[in-house]
Amino acid sequence: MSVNRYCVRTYKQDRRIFPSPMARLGLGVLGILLISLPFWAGAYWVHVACVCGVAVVTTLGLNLLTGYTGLISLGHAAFMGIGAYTAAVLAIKAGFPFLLALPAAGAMAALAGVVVGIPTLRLKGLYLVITTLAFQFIVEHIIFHWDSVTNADTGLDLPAAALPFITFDSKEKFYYVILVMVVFTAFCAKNLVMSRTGRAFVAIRDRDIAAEIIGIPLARYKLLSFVISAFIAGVAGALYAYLVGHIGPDLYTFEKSIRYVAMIIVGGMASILGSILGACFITLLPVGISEVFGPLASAYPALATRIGAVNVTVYGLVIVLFLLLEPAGLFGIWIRVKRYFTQWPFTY
Amino acid sequence: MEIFLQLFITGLAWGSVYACIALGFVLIFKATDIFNFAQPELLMLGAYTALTMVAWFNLPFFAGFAISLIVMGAAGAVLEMIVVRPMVGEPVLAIIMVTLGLANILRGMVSLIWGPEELPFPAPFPETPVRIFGAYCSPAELYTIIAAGVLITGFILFFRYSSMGVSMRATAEDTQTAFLMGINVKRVFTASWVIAALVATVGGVFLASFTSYAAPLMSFYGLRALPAIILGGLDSIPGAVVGGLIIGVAENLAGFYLEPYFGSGMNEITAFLIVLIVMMIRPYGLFGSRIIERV
Amino acid sequence: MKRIFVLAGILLCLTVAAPAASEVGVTDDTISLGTFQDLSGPGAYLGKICTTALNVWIDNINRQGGIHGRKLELAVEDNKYDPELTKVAFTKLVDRHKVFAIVLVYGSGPCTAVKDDITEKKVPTFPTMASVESMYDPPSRYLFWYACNDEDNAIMMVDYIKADLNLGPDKAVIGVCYQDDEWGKSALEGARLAADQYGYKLVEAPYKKGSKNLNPQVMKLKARGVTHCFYAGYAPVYAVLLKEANKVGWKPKFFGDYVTVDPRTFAAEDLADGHYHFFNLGLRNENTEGWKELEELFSAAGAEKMLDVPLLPLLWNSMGMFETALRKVGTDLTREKLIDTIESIDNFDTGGNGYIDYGPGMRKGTHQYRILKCNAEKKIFEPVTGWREPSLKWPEREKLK
Repeated sequence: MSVNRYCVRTYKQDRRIFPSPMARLGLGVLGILLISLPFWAGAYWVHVACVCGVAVVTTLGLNLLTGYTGLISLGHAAFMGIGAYTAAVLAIKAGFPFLLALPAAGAMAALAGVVVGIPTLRLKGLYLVITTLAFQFIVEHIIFHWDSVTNADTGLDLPAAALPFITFDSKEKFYYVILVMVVFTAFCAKNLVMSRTGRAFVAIRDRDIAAEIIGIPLARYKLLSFVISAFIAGVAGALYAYLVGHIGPDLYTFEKSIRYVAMIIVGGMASILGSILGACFITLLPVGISEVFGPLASAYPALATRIGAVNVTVYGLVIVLFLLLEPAGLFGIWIRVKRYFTQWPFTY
Repeated sequence: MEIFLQLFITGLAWGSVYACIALGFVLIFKATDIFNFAQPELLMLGAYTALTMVAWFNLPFFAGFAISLIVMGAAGAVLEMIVVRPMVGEPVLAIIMVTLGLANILRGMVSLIWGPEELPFPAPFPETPVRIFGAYCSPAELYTIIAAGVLITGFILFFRYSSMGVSMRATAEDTQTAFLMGINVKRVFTASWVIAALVATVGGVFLASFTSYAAPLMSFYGLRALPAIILGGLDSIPGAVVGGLIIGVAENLAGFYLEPYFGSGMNEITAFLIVLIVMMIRPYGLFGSRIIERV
Repeated sequence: MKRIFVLAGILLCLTVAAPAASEVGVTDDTISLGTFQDLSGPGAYLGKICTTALNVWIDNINRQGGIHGRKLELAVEDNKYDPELTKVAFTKLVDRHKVFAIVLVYGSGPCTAVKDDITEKKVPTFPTMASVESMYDPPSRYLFWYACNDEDNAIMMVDYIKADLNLGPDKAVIGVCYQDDEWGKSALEGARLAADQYGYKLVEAPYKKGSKNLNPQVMKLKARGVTHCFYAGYAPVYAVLLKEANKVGWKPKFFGDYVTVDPRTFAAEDLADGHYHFFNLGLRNENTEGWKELEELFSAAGAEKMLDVPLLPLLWNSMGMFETALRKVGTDLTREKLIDTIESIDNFDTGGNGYIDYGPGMRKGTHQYRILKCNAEKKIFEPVTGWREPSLKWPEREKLK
């Protein structure tokens, strides 16, 4: 077990996405597990996995914006909503196929990203936070009141997603679409952050004025970050719309926006793996809590709302304790665990 | 004209509630640079505490109100010490998230202790409306407007003349320097949370008096105060109050005059539209201080 | 070769026949039911009422030995009134708990989100109390609706003004103050249909869900001279509306929908007095047989507080009908037989607590209502009319839209 084996000697090695053989092996095992999931997990867990997958895609996009570029958005659910409604309206009214509706959804959300991005170029920190929040509420209002297009709170029913040779009419089938999208988005995001653009994002986050001085066009990159992030959110929103088959205004609320921010914070800022872990953690946390509290509520229906209240408290408690004890997020824990094993027995 | 006046006065009363909520946000931000998303939950907790004192322990309203102020002040101090202080120095977003988590905990606790349903709030104000300049105003609204006025004057004086106020301002300006100058920064942090909790209690009690009920959903009104803060500027006390009043009045006017054209939620999003416009013209709010950045 | 076909045929028969032999969620000694409730969201007070009522109902049946020897089991999932979580909860109920039927659910957002799944998975859902017309129109075989419909009620308000109060279009202006979702919009739709039909002027004043400041709405209704105002929304907000109207000196007659038949309306104290309400259930102060049974059972279970909820029979009538249907099907219980049985029950006996009735292709369980008048002094509601239906009947009135 020599440490030497992982030594990075060339730039080529440094640029690898998965540097160590162990990482590749682990990835292989994970891949097999994920691909075979529908065969052994049952419809419920497949559905949960799908919801997780959509959250991962959104979080990857949000982390590009918030984690890497340092622009905080409390309006990400609104971008998802725009994507979802675009896909739904195009699919229903114009008969767009799935393959076209998805990028169209992304494009529309990206356009909204430009609209929000331009005025917010001058804003920083909390002012930006609240402005994106304002955007969130305005989009919610429009979704709710643009009756003729969005059908208000009755919502819209989407057809099943279909490619030329296959219709994804069951969750098990659609699971693979989401899986592919997750892998694809993670791959693109990882590549992006390792590129010139990614480094420019990080420079802007760390010191935007300094970044401008060394020749990074601030406006262009900030806007680019907004556009990419919104595009991904839009696609994720459309994916989600196809997953549930029915969309309404309640799906894209402020609380959802908060949840996505929670995902990147809990997962780890500016980290692809962190985004994935965070998204899964925050999605699975209420699922896990209900695994414990669900049977309790079923056994004591008279106490059900008390149990529900405990459920909410525990959710908050986990997040607070987590941040108090591990501010670097799940990614920090991951790094520590990994270090423990790679450096074993030379641990401190 | 009569309609306009009526809308204006009622808007002013709601604006005063927003101002109370906004004040809480700004006080904590000003002293500690932390944006406390759990502020609306403090408001709700304040209303519930007052309700408990009055309805469960059968205290007279003003005695119950005073005791709930003490209780809430203590709660503010405890929250600051347990939850916020360990986070000092962590990234802004992590702290925001902690306050959001805290908000969840408080909401859960409230519905655990008091149950999820609305509880009737024993407001002491009579129902008979008062006539002012041809517009009607309920006594609860009148008291709210007065209370907001008293609070703002009090806090402006506090920050200008009291030593605590000055050390709070110094801490906000530069925590480390303030620390080196011998200011007890820890005490400043705690004090700001205590004061914010007090203001929240006042706001909560008035909000509950308006609506006759204390409900877990009250905390959603907290969000409506956010535009007020941004409008006024995050670190300006008069800004928070003026922002709150502007938002309250604008909402009410928009609810009447713009609703036929833009639909029913118009009064809710007016605030956010105003924020968008103000942010484009003055990215640091109407009264906020402009930060000069160095590389 | 032939033998293989035979074998395959037998196998096929077995696989097809196997699930038919015993229905999902039904064993020799249990029937498993599921429900999704809001236990920690904005509708948690509903969750509390429903879970308590279900608890009392199930205990009562199991104490008597269950249904044909089968005890009832209940799985409760928390949906936080959120469509996304409702979808997860539904999948869990169907896939993990393998429930036979879903009982007593509500919320237009949550119920709409799983409406198609209910039809697709063929899970009887009895009843949904969501205030959306799409719950019964078009009818889905597996989805039963039982609540009040504000479209019915708003039409009945116009009928009442015209026929009972004898106020013609020149003497009354109709207003609708409603929460701006499907629930409130159905009230507006009904008022519009009837107002158009009989020539009344109509003023609408929507407010956003969650809003407690009704000043702009009241000013609008007052400025337009509204004399009779329908209200669709929650009781605490109704109290706010009454206070606000009193504040600005506007004195119309209000017609609250069934949700305002609630003790919280009395927060407005004597301002609530003399206004009208629509209701499809029996009242506790009438001492009906049904209410006596409720009082007995809920007191025994230590849930006396629930008896203050006037809507309790809404839950109890439907659960009672469900129980009767389960018993009537017999030992060979299947979902399809259960649905046929529910359809075959005519005018279920609720002990004077209102009417509930379904039929083939008819999933709207409520047709008749009474108009009540609020007595703030005694804090009760008193019927001023008998059971009646709106003059424009559903589904015939759909043509007028």
